[in-house]
Amino acid sequence: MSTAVTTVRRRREPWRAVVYGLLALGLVIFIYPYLWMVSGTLMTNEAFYRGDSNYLLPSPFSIYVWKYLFVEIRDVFPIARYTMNSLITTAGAVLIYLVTGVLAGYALARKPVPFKGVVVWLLFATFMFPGITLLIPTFFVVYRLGLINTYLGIILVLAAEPLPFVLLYRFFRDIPVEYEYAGRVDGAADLRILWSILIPLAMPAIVAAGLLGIIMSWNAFIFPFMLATSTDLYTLPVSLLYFQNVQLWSTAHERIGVAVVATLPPIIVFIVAQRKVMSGFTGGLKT
Amino acid sequence: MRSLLRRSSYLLYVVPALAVFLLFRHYAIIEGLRMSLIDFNPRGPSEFVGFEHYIRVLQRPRLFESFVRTGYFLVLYLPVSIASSLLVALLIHARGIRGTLFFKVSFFVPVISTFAAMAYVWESILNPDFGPIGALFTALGFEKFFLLGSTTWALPTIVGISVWKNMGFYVIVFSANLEMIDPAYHEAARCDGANAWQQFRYITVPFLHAAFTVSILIGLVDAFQAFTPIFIITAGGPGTSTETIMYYVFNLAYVLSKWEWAAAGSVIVFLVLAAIAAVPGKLLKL
Repeated sequence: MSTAVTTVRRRREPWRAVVYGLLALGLVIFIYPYLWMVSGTLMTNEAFYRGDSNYLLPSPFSIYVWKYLFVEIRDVFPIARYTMNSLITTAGAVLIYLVTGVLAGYALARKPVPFKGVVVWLLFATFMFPGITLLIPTFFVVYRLGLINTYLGIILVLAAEPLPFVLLYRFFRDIPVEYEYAGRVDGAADLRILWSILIPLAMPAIVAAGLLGIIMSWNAFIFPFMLATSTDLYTLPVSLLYFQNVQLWSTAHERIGVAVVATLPPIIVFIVAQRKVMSGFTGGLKT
Repeated sequence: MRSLLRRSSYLLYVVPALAVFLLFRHYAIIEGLRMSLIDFNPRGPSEFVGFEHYIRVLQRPRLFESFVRTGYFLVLYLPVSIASSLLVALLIHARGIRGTLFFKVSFFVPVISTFAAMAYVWESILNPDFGPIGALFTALGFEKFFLLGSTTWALPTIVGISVWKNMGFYVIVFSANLEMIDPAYHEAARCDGANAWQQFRYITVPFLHAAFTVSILIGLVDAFQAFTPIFIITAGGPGTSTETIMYYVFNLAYVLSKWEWAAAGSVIVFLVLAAIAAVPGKLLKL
């Protein structure tokens, strides 16, 4: 019996090694750019342009890039301010669509809202318009509202994102109605039931939608770029383009430093809550 | 009467969300349509010009060329990203393979990364003087050359970067679908003597119908929206070799200041995309 098991296992061994080999190769292609950029920012200018980063070995070790970005050019390129702008727009957008999304998702999924069909259709139909085809028209709208070059303009445009709403709507729809009865018996009002019974139950979806929103808003590039006409309002991804265009004081080496600052926060969020983030992005697909 | 009042009060829950969407999505669509039909005058009343901007835009050969380029992008992007993500999904779900979540997470990292930033990183990685790809070329005995500086290779390279960026998403789509297949089907087939290919062809593929539909539709939209890496890395160049449709439309507004043309161009792109997206829907009996 035990010999039979070992033969089967041994017979499968090479096949499994091939699978792991292919996956490892894929892993290198997917993760190497990150290791490359981080190691690149930890070496001297000369070492970087010699191609030392290719071996991912920052030696001699140097924090030249970081000193340059955060100290030397902080007056002409205030990276701390761009980071702050990214935080403000991201927080604003996520807050707005979580509040509006929870209220609307709850009412549409569980309550006899008048014209429900029309409202749901209107909200879901926005899915059919790929964001970027709306780039030019959105600029007109923000312009008409007088919100060009304001935080509010950027925040509202980022908040008009249908995916988190769909996530919340579906989740509220699937909560069994019995949970509400307990509150109903006690004579609690709708808002009270939403707050103390349904929101705690919907927390997984709210968290997923929030994480999705944090990452999408933080990474947004072309809309914030169009809507901010002065450098004061640049977010980190937009500041990268600015940094590249002012070639007087930027080269590829310093540029990847800015890239590290811009990519790090979403990666941290992702590492902390991998499954939640993936299920958020795929609209609740099982991961 | 009271119940009507009560029902109407629920509208209050919906109003905030609806306001944001109506303003920045629906009104934007209408405003875009309107803009494409007028001569915009910021100081006075705008003049209605009918389809003049559409005709002007459609007469520009670069519009047609950039559509063809987007088609080329699509033809490269769709099969490569679907085949590679299906392969990865199959590999991580192969019998006896451990670390499924670890692999999914690793392949997903580019999806959550700032594309603008990673586009810069890829530009540097592809740099023949100090990037690893140049070193790899030398090691393999090829001449060093800048892929993004060649009119032949720039677009396929941008496609490659886009596949790298988005593949993790398709992996999740396929793997979620694979996890829904009852292993009993494969076991039954194995008992009947079906080999690995037959199992894949006659059990796995039909069951992946939903994942194929979703990934084809999303791939279509991805290809039409291809913009950030082009804007950041190549600016449509060298020459016009990476000038895809959205980049061209954006440039009508951003470089030429022809906002009305860009509005008309956006409508045309949307119509073409809608027409093409209807095809897989029909083919796959959506």
